[in-house]
Amino acid sequence: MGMITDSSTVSSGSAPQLAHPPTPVPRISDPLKAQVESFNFFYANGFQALHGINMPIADNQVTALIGPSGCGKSTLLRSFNRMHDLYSKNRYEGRIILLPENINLIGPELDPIEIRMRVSMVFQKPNPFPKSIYENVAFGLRVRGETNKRYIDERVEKALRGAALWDEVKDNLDKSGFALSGGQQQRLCIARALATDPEILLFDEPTAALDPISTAKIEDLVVELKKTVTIIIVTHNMQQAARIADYTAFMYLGQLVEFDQTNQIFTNPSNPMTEQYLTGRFG
Amino acid sequence: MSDVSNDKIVQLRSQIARRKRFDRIFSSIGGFLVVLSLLTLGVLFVNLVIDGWSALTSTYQAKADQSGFGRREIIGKLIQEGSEWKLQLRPLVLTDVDDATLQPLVGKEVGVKGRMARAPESGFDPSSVGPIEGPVENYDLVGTLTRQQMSVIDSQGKTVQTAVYTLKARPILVDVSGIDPSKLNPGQDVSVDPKRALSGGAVVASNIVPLVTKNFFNSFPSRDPEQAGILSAWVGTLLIMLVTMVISVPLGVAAGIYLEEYAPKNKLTALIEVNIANLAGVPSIIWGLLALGLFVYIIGTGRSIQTAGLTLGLLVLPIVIISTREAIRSIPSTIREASIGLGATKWQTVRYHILPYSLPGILTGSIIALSRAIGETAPLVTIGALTFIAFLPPPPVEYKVPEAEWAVYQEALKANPSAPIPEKQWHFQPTEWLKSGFTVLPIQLFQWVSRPQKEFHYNAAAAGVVLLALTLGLNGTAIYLRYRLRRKISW
Ligand SMILES: Nc1ncnc2c1ncn2[C@@H]1O[C@H](COP(=O)(O)OP(=O)(O)OP(=O)(O)O)[C@@H](O)[C@H]1O
Ligand SMILES: [Mg+2]
Repeated sequence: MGMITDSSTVSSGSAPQLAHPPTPVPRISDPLKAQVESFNFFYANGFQALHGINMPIADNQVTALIGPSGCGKSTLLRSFNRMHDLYSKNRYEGRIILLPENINLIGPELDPIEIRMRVSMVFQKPNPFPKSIYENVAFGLRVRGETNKRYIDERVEKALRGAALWDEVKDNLDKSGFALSGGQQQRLCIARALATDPEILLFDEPTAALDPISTAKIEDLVVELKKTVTIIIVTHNMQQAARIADYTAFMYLGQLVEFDQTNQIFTNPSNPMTEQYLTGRFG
Repeated sequence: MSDVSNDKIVQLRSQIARRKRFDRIFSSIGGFLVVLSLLTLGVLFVNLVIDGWSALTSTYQAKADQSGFGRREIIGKLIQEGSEWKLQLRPLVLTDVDDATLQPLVGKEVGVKGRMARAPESGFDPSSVGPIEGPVENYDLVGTLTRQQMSVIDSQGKTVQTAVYTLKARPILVDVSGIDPSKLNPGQDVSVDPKRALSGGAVVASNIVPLVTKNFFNSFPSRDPEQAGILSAWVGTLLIMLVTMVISVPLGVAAGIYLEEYAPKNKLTALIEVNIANLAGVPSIIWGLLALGLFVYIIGTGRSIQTAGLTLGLLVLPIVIISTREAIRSIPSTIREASIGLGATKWQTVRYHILPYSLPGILTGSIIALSRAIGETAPLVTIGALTFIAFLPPPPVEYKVPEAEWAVYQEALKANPSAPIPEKQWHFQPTEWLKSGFTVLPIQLFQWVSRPQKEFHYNAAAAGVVLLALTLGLNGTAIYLRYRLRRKISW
């Protein structure tokens, strides 16, 4: 895995079923946090889920990944913290450069644990541990060997405040994370991801399982969080992408069809497929 | 128009009724079978309890320092009167007596001379009983005689009337010279050998042996069904289960975790998986053969508790592995991903999440495995379990005379009856019990069943009750634990 291939060999005609050739590397003016270059991904069964992805990730901005079901959004997102390493035989090709150090996230020489300590993830379905609220948030610190109770207390409070959950749970930190509502659970998972001060926060359809009020809370939170962390979010909800994302990437059949500033994509897409998708003609 | 729709509804209803008929049939058959199986279990248990009840509840008294209780003993209670110690004998029953000679003595003071013991707890040759003539000291025992008419069944199975005499002896003096009186306890039940103890109307204290109450659970097996118990069997079962658990649980859990969390998913692990499932179904006697060849003959662990524990440990290992894996698989992968996603290592994920959340399943599986092992007989017979054991495995710490010195003392005793008894010493032997021979409950049960006497069958039933209670208890614990621990974690 992680073989670095020349981008020209990868991008040429690797997906004949797609009518559109892959986009060249988009240029943006914002400072970058990461850069995806000629990225291919193969699942253990040999299925190639991503074809020659080129995409910048702007620092302290929200980047949304949209596209029809099965187009590879989750696959791309999970590559950012090497989640695919959990199942052996999954294979990366190309590079995902983390800036400013200029290191290749998916390089085999890089310990995935190091990546996961810098890039945290929030999943579609809230997945708190069946432990207390406090322990849920403290877990990331504990695995780093942190034992100073006072310090952990501080960080737990800060993370819970950051996830806009503190006021609701501050008197019940010993309560099980399972006892919270779905929206609260998701914010608990965000707090858990925040506790270790990640540089990038990945969200995979974080509101798909939530009611509108909880969804609005999470959306506000995402906008608030981008002051301190770079955010990549997968969403099926166009309005949500339009509301919170600075950049949007439209994917189709494992390829990146179009990448641009969100208002550009939604008001004036350059690719007819993007427009068709946004207007609901397929997907 | 309405006719058509009516038709349709009628058709629909008959169709639904037809389909529902199967539900009814299946649910009634299922319900019937459940009731039947519960009934069977109930009848089985009640039957065992009825058969075994007398054996389970009966008690008898035996000498404290010996497993059995000799027939030619007389027993009584120590009493203290001022500075004097006395022995209050239990009433002595005289059977097979010449009614004509003894009848005139009824109600009078009689004396007993001579020490011929005849029957259990009876003691005296009736011919040695007579009216008191001369000084009381000439008699070994002095007491009053009572007579009772009783029906007994003779050897031909006929009921005959016979006279039974009972001698209520006066307390006899105990000669405590040369003995530390603090070792005697007033009110204690003791046994005396009449051939050695009585001399000149007094009992020599050094010949008095304390008695303890014995029952089914703290007696060794015996030729006498009334005195036979399951002490060596349940101790053996318990110790072997300990070894089995120590071997199968850590190994099985570790193997399960490795296979689920660490092992790469390839052809080899698939093969191992299939093998483990097959091993769980291997007949237990095959395990016995394997253990006999490997442990007893090649490694040389002997026909001992350790071999038995190893064998049963291996036998139930697949069950522990499979239940561990099942428990781990029931944890959603999102939990694993959440932990890994936060930068935890594999081991941290196992230690903080996988193991705690699968603990209920692992515990239940281990207990079920144990309850399977507890009833295993065949592999233990194969490796050479003993069927009659009147000793317990050596305890880890013991205060005793060293064996070598004891042998020397026995030799010396032949030449010099008053050779000094060697000193006792502390012995630390923490692993000695592992090398001891053993028997277990099911083997003891089988041994009793195969005896012709009916009384032994009651003992077998009683052992069955104990075994069944142990198994049901273990399974009950498993169900309770699953219920208690699962309640806290639900996905
Ligand atoms: N473990 C896997 N093994 C093989 N193929 C997979 C695996 N997971 C996903 N895929 C395939 O990869 C492609 C991309 O899947 P992915 O989950 O990234 O889609 P997605 O865009 O997130 O879809 P959705 O919006 O429905 O979540 C799909 O065709 C899917 O069938
Ligand atoms: Mg997805």
